[in-house]
Amino acid sequence: MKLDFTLNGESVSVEAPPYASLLSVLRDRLSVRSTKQGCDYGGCGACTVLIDGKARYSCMTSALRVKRKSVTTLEGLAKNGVLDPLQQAFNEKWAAQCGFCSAGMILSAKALLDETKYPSESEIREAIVGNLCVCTGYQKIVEAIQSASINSPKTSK
Amino acid sequence: MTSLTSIKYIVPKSVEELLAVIGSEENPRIVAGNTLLNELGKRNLLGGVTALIDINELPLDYVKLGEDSITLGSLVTFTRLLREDFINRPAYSALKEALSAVHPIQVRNAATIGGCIGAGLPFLDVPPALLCLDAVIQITTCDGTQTNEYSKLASDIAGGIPAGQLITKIQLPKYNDRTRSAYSRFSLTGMGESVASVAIRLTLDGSLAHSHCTQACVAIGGAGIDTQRISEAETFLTNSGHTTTDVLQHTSDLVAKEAHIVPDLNGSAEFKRKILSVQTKRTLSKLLAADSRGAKL
Repeated sequence: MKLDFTLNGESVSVEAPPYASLLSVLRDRLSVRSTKQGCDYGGCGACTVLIDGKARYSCMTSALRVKRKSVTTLEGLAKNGVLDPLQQAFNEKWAAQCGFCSAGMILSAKALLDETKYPSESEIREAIVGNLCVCTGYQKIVEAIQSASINSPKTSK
Repeated sequence: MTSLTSIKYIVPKSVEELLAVIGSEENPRIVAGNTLLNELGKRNLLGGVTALIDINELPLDYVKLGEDSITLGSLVTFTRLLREDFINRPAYSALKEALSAVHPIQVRNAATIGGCIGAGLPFLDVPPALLCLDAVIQITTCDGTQTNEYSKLASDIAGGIPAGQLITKIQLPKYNDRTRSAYSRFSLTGMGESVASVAIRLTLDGSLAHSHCTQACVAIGGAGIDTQRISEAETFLTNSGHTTTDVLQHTSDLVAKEAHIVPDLNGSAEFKRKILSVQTKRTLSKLLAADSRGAKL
């Protein structure tokens, strides 16, 4: 079936079978490789994407559910070659070890910061509870999200 | 067997259109969150299904506050429900705590209130909370619409609502300020399924510590094959007057004794009874603690 949606700000059109997951369409048909396939049943968060701004597991989302919706992956965060403050903070705080969870972590954090500009540490931990870091580098990740929050422009959302 | 590639994907815009589709398709399957669809497809478990009917465009994503009840469309997500004002009232704390027990934001953003009832899975958090709040469920089929108390429906839909039936709305009574509720659960891991959970609603005459309970509802999940109400514990709480330590202990004992428990990989029957007893005490203690902090009853 034909599927039209917005991916990182650009309209895309792709054929997808009714049972295909958004993850498989992103990776196998649209070559979006930042979105990782981890557990593939909604347990690890490596496949997290934003659908209309909300964090969702793409492995548990039917591709056809995103028809006419906006999907954001890690590739959609940097603008004109400038990293998103969250990406910058992950770099500066050494919040990535093997990096497998980073895309999902950053997108879960992005959904949080878009709604809550200055979240508490417990709010940050709650926001990333569905994202597993097998390297157990949670402290650095939380610090990076706090840093991105503090450094975000006061006037912007 | 139907080829996976020949499965139709239909998105009806109204309940009437949906019912027409159900009537015309040989073997339709209603999908909402679609969270298991990919997994079923990969395992060749969609054999025989002729059409997937996506109900997400039905006008069932609403919350209406009425004079006597609160009506939830079945497509309301957990995230949306947690943002509603009514959920912060003491009477609905059990529902708030149960929704919050679903930890990954990603799941809360997808899971719907109708889906968690229709799944009929005993280890889900929200059903016991809905049961203790005396939820009423509306189900629509090709033959018409039926409204049932969830307490009478829970065992019938254990394991999943039958094909061709659609949960359209959930009604919760509007409780007065003397009613409060709480929910507690136990799981083996932080994000694991509930091994035993307890939701309790009490209506009180005066403060919990100094007056008696005029109405009680005790619901459990996780331990058996369905979500259950423990009427013996409800009767005891209602008749016991002041809520003392002895009352807490006896209520917990009753819940553990009367619950229909099925041992599984998460624990033996004995283990689950013990956990249920502890969770009952914790839930009642939570209600007492909230009262002693001066929360409005």
